[in-house]
Amino acid sequence: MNTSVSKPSLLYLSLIGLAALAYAVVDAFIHRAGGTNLGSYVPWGMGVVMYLLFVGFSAGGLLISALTQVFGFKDLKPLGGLATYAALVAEVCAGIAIASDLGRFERMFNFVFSPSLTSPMFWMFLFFTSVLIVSFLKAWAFAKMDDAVVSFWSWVSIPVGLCFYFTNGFFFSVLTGHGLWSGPVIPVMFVTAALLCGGALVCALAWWSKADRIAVTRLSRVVFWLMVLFASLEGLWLWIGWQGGRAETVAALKNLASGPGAWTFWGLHVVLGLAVPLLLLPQAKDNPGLAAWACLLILIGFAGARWAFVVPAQSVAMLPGLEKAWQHPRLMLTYLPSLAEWSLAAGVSGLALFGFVMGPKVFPSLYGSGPQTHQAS
Amino acid sequence: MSGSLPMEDPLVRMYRELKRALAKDQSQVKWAMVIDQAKCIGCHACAVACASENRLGPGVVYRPVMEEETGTYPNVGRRFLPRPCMQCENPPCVSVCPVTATWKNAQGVTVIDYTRCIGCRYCLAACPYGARCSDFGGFYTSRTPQEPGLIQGRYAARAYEQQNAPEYAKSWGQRGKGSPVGNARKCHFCLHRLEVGQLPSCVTSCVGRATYFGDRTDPGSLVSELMGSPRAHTLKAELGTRPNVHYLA
Ligand code: SF4
Ligand code: SF4
Repeated sequence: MNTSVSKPSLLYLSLIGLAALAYAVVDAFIHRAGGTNLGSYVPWGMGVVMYLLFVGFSAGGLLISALTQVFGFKDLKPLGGLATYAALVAEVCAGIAIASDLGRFERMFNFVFSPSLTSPMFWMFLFFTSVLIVSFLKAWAFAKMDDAVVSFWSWVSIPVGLCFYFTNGFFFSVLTGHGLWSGPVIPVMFVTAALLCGGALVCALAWWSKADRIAVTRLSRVVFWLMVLFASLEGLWLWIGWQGGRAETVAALKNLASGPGAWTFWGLHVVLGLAVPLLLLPQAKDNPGLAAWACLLILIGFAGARWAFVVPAQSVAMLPGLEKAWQHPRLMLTYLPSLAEWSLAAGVSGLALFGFVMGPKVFPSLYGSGPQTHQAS
Repeated sequence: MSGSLPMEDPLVRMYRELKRALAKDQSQVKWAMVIDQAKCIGCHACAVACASENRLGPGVVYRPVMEEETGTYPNVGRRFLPRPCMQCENPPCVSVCPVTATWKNAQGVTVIDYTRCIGCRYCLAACPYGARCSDFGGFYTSRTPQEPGLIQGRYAARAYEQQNAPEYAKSWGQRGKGSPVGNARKCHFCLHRLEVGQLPSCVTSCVGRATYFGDRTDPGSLVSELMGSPRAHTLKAELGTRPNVHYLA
């Protein structure tokens, strides 16, 4: 089941993704948000979905730092460099996804020149930048093989990372007009989701880059328990929304469960991304290959989870009849991404794949002191 | 005056009160609007007048008029609800803006700086009334046929569409070339008209005389009077946004 990191087909696939990214970026420069199928009643779509997805993927660095520094999982240390590199790649992808979603991305400097401390988005930007800088410095220390500096930046990355993933949830939880997004469970759920996705990504990458197989299986057990925690929190979130009985929240939940995009939630997320890995991971104690495939399913499933979180919540009018009062495609409650948005999704995924395929070749020092040749059974 | 003579048109009274308000220290003035649902005939004239006044592009609307059917046959009725920005006293749209591009001005109107907005649309998601739009660009005439000499096609109409939006009494870039495309946009009580002593466009165009506007700190104003009516209420009052647009049920 193992594959070589230099497998040309993955590289070609990533190059197709990069071509799609080029198209999406050019479109964003020409049409800005006008190239999307977004509107005023569904203002967030594929760009935000991809941002949240890749932000989650970037949490592997935080997870490994926390496990090695705080919880004493010394056998996960060989994965530190890889996790930091994966975090950097995922953060860059997340940044591209969200920047191209802005109507006026050329004014992003206003985050610095006229910041608003009351805005969760400002704090998200601040911690996003901090995580990027800390990850870069940590990766530098890994490349220099300076254990003391690695340890220092690993400690720093823990509170910074936790704040970042928390602010991503906080960002949504303050939107009280959207019953499905608001509430205190969301920030906790986001932190857990990020740790789960980040851990799953590191686990999968570690196996494909032939890293320490013991570390892979050990990490997969952590991923399993994170998944149990996440599934419980997600269940709680949905249950609270349903039990609360607020008409808008219930309508959004019905859209999530049986609307046109319901397959992303049930098929991609619940079945492929949760149920199957929950069955596979306990059987992967001595089988890092199986653990890696289960983790890959978690990652794919999270695309569905993010879609189900972002889009159905916006399918309910803020006031009854609003969508019929002035009719225009930009004033509707339904949303399907445009070609440019699909290209962006394929593009950032291609960029990530390119980064992960090229990583062991370009930054061998981040991938440990040379691959270990344990094969999966 | 005899009761059989026509009453003074509320527009005349509101213009008189506007003059009084503009003579005051402007930081003491607080604008408010009252909409009488019993008088609204659902003609959408205010929505169209607003779109024309503010050069709103495709998919941008500041004051849609919602329609609601009530009762069951044969006892049925229709109710209309024009929905401008509520100019909330406690606006959730302001606190979420990451770059302080939107705030409440001295007269209580929530405004947007079109040169600062990054187009993140966070304020759109935060507004519980759906009162903000994002301007995604484009022209109404995008698919209009062009047949020189036969019909007045795309280019003739686009010259009108490209005119500057007069909002906030500033000269914004031509549509398609500069602001406010890419930004969040919303109703601002026609501040540019108030500045020169004119009532908001939706008020003057209201066929049913269902929209009233004025200074709520002036106890003698029509809006102050109507806000005290037992019929007066605000939308989604439970959210604590404290709207400055009141409805008479
Ligand atoms: S109605 Fe919406 S846009 Fe207007 S002030 Fe209130 S929250 Fe802001
Ligand atoms: S769209 Fe503009 S006004 Fe609205 S929150 Fe973003 S930057 Fe602020």
